[in-house]
Amino acid sequence: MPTASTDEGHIASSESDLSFVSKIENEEGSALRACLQCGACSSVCPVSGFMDYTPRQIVGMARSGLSERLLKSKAIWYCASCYACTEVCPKKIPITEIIHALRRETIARKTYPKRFAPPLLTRSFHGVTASRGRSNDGLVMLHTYLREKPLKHLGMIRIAGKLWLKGRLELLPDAVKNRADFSRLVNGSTERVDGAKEVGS
Amino acid sequence: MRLLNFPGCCCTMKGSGKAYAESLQSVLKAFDVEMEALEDWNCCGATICSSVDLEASLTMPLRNLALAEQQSGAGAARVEMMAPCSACFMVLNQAGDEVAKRTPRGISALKTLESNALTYAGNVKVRHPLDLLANDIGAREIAAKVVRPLHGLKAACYYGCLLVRPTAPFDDANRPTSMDRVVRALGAETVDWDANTRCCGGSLMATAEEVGLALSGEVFASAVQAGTDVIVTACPICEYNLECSQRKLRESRPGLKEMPAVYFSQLIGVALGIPGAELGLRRLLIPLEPALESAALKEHAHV
Repeated sequence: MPTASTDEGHIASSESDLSFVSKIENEEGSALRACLQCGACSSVCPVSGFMDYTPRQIVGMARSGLSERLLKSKAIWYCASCYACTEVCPKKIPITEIIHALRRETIARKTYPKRFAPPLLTRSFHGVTASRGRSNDGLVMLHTYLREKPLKHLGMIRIAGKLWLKGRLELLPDAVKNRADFSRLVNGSTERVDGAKEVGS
Repeated sequence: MRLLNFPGCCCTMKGSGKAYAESLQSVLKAFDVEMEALEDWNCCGATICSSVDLEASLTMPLRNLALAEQQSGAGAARVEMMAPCSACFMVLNQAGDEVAKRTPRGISALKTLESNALTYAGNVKVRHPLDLLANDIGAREIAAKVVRPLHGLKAACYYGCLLVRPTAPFDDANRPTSMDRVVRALGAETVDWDANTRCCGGSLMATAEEVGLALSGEVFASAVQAGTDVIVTACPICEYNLECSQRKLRESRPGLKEMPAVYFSQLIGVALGIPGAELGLRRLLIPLEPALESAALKEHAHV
């Protein structure tokens, strides 16, 4: 397939990139191609100012099959999943779900930025909850920060201590009654996501 | 009346939203509603697990809906289950919708459930406690129970995102009023402000602090500008972000006044004369009482 450049200045270079569009469309049951590039999503997004690509650009890039830069971007990880974009989209494109789909691809390919907390928290949270059936703030944050920059978060000890004194931080993680059954339900017979076991134990 | 409750990871006696769990229990009891916890519930997956595993992000909430039917007994045509956290509320509703609409994803998740000896017939209606108080119990009945009217108190009712988006199951998405009606029934004044459905930043406060602080900061600044005495929330993440980020916020915005951020159930409890210990008031990092006292003083000066 010949290389094609687009208005976003990125390059579509392989078959797999286009199959990537179909994959997202299948998963979301939505017509990514219906996007008007009107920018309503970017205008209501509370974090677009922090993103290397705005929501409009994310959708534009995703539908062009230009996955590589997107899958390395920080932008998709700054989404707070507040659904403001989804609600305002005139073509009813589930933009938040598309961003989640991009994140899944990123995690599967391990292309997310290194030592960057948002994807690390996502993996930790999924790992802890898929394995224990319940989350625990301390456990999730510990796993996240150890993989990010542990020293950066030493200051958190102060607020954690305060919350603990107020009874707002439980140190002993909770779990469902039968963790094996739960894991089987959530992860299926095969271990689909490598992080789950290692993080949740 | 007994009502099934899905506490979720935050709103339990072990979670960060313990004060929400305590105050809800006390307040609902005052209206003869007993909370019955869903047995062996699991994390709903929040808005996070769908970024890792699409199928799990559906089986996780659906397992809870299946357990809710099971606990309510065979043949229950309609089961109501409360979910106090906005994220749990949205995720459970979204999963229920996939089944109700018989989407391919919903059907496939049901099959996974079945091969794990769980069935879900689609009979669970997920309710948020705010919906229950504003629409079932209602402002009039709440007002009738008030023994300590909150006259003079200016409250900013904060709905956040997931209570009203992507769908608003019990309120208007753009101009929600349910919390305002409840808070006014307590004698307080609710301010008109423009950040009531803006996002607090969610988990970004923990992972990308500059972004989280900017988001909560904007909500907070809007409340301050509207002359607010207290921010009222209906979600453990919103409450945490708006209360616990204030010290950090003041580092970049010195002079920003300190303002309590509480659960709507705590505020109702205070007006109903329920002791603070039963409302988790001592768990607040920024106490509520000074705001109540200064509002009462202002009110006296006016009279």
